[in-house]
Amino acid sequence: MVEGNSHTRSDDSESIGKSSIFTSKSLLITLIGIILGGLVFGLIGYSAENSIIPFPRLEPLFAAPYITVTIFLIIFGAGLGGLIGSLISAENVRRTDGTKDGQEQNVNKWISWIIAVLVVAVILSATGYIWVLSAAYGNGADQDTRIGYTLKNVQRVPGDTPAQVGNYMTQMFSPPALEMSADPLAAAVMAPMASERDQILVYDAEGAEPADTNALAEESLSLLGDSPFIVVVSADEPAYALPAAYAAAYFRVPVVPVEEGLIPRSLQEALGNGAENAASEKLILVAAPESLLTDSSLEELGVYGEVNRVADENIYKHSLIWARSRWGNFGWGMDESYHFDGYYNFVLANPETPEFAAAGLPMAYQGNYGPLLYTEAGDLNDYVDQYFWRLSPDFFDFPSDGPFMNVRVVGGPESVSYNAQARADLGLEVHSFKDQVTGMSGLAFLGWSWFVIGLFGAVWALFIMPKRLPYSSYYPRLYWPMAILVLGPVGVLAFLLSYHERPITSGPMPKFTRPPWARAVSATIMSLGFGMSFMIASMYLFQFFGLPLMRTFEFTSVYWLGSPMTTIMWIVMVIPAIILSSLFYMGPMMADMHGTGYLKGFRKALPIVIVSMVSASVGMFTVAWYVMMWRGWMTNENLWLWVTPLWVASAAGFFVALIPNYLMVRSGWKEGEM
Amino acid sequence: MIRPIYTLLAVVILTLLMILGYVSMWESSGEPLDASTMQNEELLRLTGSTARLSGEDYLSTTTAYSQAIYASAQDKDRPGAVVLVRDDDPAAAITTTRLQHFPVNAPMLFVTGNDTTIPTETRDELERLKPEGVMMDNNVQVYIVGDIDRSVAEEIRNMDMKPRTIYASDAIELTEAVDEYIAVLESNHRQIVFIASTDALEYAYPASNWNAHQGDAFAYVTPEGVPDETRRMLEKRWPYYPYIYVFAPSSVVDDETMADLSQYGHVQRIPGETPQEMAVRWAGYKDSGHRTSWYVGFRPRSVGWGYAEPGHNMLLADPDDWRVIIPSGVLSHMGKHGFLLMTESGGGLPDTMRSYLQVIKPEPIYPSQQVFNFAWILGGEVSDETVQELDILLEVSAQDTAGNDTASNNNTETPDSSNSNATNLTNNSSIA
Repeated sequence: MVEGNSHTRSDDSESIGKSSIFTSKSLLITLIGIILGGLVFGLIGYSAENSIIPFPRLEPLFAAPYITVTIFLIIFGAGLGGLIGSLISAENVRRTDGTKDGQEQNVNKWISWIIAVLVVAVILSATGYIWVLSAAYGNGADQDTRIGYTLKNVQRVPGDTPAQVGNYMTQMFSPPALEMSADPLAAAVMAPMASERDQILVYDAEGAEPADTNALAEESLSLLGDSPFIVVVSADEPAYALPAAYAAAYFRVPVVPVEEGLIPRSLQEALGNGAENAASEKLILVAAPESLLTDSSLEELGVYGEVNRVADENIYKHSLIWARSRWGNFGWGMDESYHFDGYYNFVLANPETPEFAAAGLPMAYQGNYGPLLYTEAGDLNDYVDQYFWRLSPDFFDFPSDGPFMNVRVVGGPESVSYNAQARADLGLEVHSFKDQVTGMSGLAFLGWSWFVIGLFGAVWALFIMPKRLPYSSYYPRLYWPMAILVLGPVGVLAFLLSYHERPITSGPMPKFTRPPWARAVSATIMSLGFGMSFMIASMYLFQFFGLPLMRTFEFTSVYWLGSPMTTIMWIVMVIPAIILSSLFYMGPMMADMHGTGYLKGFRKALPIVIVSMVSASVGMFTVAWYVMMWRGWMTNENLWLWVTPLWVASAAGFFVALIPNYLMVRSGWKEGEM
Repeated sequence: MIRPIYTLLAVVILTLLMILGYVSMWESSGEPLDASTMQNEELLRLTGSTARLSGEDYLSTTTAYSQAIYASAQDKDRPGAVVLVRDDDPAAAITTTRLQHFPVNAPMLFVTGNDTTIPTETRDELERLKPEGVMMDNNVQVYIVGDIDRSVAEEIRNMDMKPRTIYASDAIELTEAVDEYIAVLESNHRQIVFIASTDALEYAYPASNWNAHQGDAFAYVTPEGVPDETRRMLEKRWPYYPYIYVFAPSSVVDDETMADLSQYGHVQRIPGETPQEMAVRWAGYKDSGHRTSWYVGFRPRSVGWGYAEPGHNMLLADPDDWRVIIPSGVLSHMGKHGFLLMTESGGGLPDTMRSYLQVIKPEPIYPSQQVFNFAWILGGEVSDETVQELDILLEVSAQDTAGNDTASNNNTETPDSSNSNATNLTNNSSIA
């Protein structure tokens, strides 16, 4: 099947068997590794995605559509599992033709090795840094020149004490004030009534009498008795009661504090008194975890209606449950997975100082109202952070189209720090759907999935070539991993097509016999493996130090010559790639292959590299320009979307370069048998 | 042969070293902010649907805008660069807002002292922002735009930041200089061109905010007609033609000039007899249609905010001080992405604005699908009474029955009067 072309074979060559990358046993173990790895990482992803476990500091990943993180982790785990499975099960294959595997190192080989290591390290540090920066947040600055705490998506209610916050509510909202004492639990009970009566609750007002919570609860049950819902909270921990109170205040549902083991008579009466049929329709929502109100103490309530615990021991998750849930016409229903393009406003407070949250209660039912969320002081709580990134608004046409999200912080910097506030501000910024900039988008995830397949594929090729392909020579063992790194699945596929079950012929340089198209694939990788990874590495370095822009041609009709994305980048990326590739890869390799001197090898290599790299760069630059400038995928080198356009462009470069390589193989310029 | 494990180790170690290298280049994040939340409370006043952004004077007001947009608490909330303009040349500042759009991504700050001084407010803000650098142009961190003394660029360099100067001796020349720079940056001349008159700049304020948001081209006409710079700019859109939008009523730019402009491309006039009215019309304006096309494809144009439904944000300013208005473009560029509206000079809301706000007033739905409006109040000139009125116009119409059908009888007296000892009912609505 390899006959019928101009390719000639030297007479002393003889067949010495077929290459085989996998045995049936190692293939099975690899598959098991793929499945196991995918399963384990997929489960982790699924748990994180559903807020079962936090993903500290990687919350920006969740800006992508629901389930994307899970899919990405499945791909990651499958890649890792497959790599491990394959490497532990692969048995060494030795040469049988009497030649030695280990060709000696010479200066040329050392230089090409060092360049390869450098180039790959630049690419991996570029991609790795994106994750490091996201997790470590990066550069901050002294903020002491700030005028105040107002940020674009998160403002702070002026007030260093709960009383000041309470008083500020009368500045913010116009309805009449309802003054009360400093009692967060009483505030939780009073807020729904204040909302019903169109009053502004003023927390810790000067001269207000202490509240009698039981009397208030009784009043509330009677004022709001028509509501089919009752919210039961624990009398002990107001921090758990307040997220429920925010919802109750907006929806005007009575809030009743209960002490463990003591169902207040007012509640029993309210539930029992009403017509029996009415009482049985009540839904009693218990906003306290088991540790505050035990199941047994709630049994009594079951007589009067359906009792439903809506709580979590983790106070931050507890606040999120109340923001997300909806029962009929009660509950905010702000589920991050199906958020229906609503504009969500939140109040953000620290649960250790629930008095601030209590003072902010009017924001649950006045102005741009919304639920209460909790955070730690130092940094935004992981679950809340993830919730915000998931809600982070996307626009399709214009960023001014909406939706918009807004947060109002209550409490001083020791309660919610400026940094926690800034983190919320970052997560809730409006971004384009495809480029979430600071967060991960679906498109970025596609790029990263492609990239991790390439990454694991590269490591795999690096180890599997000496193990299973003893007749492969020095340079292919360097350029194949590099090619796979930048070509991802396409590279893995090219590798399998080039080396799987190919007859080998012996000679000064053993050769793999392939059909012409597979020789074209192999030949393309040979002349691009290094060049393409070098171009990506240099693209990164140029972006890191700033792309060159020349104003020389301003005011002329060739102004575009100065634009970094057109001519300059081509010159600074492609020409060095051609020179280095010819000097240190194709040159010495050609010399080895034909047993000639280095210079002869270089001279033979140069035109081949030029044709391959120029054609590849045409594909790369056309696609890169199209996706970056026309489709708007252009992004900075430290942001998530960075990998997608570059790796897409590399794949395009490969396919374009296949065409001249096929012609070169057909005409005998190149052999493609390494 | 080098064993693969050594290759892998070499790559991993080198990669980690490089990442550590970048990380060590981070500057320390400084002392955590511990200022009182009451600080400057009256300059940053909140209502239900608005927030004021103001400083003691126009310099610190400009800083307040920049501080609101760029938290500068982590690497990713810093700007790409900062744009510096003169504080005595509104025409040049209006020309420059288009530079603030991506990929530059910059707030606008002022140079004072007849173009020679970087005032303390600007300097402090530059240091707080630590601009990231514009990747598309050599990581430039500060744009010095207009007729600004060379010493300013020198001072920026001394602050360890990389300046880029776009110089022109007057505002009309500057429109072309900025246009050429952006053309190189984007490998294209923008086809949408806004035209204002050097004679009546306050009509151009709404266009200036739009340009910080979308970065379209901007040029001037004068009472004498269309200057050469503008003619050259309009011709540069070759092989296509410009879509020209004139921000001036016929009393300022007459029909003769409009006819002159029509030689170059499609011309429209934004309606509105006063700057306030024009701002309102522009908020609702949307011109869609042709822009660029070729054999098999096209890119349509979509010019103007065009909002006639609830769920949008705005900026409210008093038109008297341009130095409070033009830098607010950064608030149209990021965050709430608001359009600019203006009060009567030193007064309240114009009637056209009131009726427009009725158009975009949200109706109560259910919180999970509710849309809201929001407004930034710019500077200290707009009175609290005006803000109160705006707040009520913006907020969701009153819900009648709390979203459920049970609380049918509001305002009923409670049968139990025992609440009086627990609560202190005061009717102090006059506070509002």
